[in-house]
Amino acid sequence: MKLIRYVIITTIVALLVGCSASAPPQELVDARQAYQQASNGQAAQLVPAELHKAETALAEAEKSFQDDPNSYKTRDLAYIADRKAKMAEGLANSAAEKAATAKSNKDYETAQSDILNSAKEDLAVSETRD
Amino acid sequence: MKHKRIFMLAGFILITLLIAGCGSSEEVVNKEASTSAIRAAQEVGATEVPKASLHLQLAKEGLVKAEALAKEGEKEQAESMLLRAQADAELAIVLSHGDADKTEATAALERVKKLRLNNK
Repeated sequence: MKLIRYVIITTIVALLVGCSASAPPQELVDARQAYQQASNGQAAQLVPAELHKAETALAEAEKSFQDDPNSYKTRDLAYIADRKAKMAEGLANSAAEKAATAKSNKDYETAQSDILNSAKEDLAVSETRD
Repeated sequence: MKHKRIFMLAGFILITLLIAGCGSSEEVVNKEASTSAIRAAQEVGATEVPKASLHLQLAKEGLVKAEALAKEGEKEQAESMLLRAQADAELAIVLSHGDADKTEATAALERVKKLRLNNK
């Protein structure tokens, strides 16, 4: 009876230790999610170098998690990877906004040019009438 | 007997001081990169952009934590914490620029709309 109890307790403890060892820290969970979000967005097209930096940082955090899952180093590397992924996303958004500004400025110039041409045509027509 | 007691007391004090000294040996860490990034984030107006402001605050807190870790003699952990602070400050800069870019893009689009509307 004592032996059975001992075996059960040992199994439960081993399971608990096993589960806690394999569970990634919140920082790594956030980093994975942030990288996923960045790579699914515009970052791959607009800022591939920044996305690559985020990928490298995440790989470093994953490696540290494999080597030493509960260390501060793993948590810190994952935290940095999360920030790098968010940076890539932010830089991609910035690039998109800059492109939109450039397009609007070009549209403005075109619109101005059209207005000027139209005014010239109107003037030419009125001069011909006179 | 009296001398023996004095020597024992002196020895005890010496050992205590040595242990205390070793326990709190302050480590020197290079904070330049993280403090520069925090300063840069403040200069680009991170405090005015909610998301950037949060990361600037996290960076400042990271710097304070790193200083505390260095004081406790935890050099490696302090350096790791400084990298976290730097990453937060750099993100604050990116988010501040992003906000400015968005404002500029909206203004440029409005300018075109207004021009077209006024010349219909």
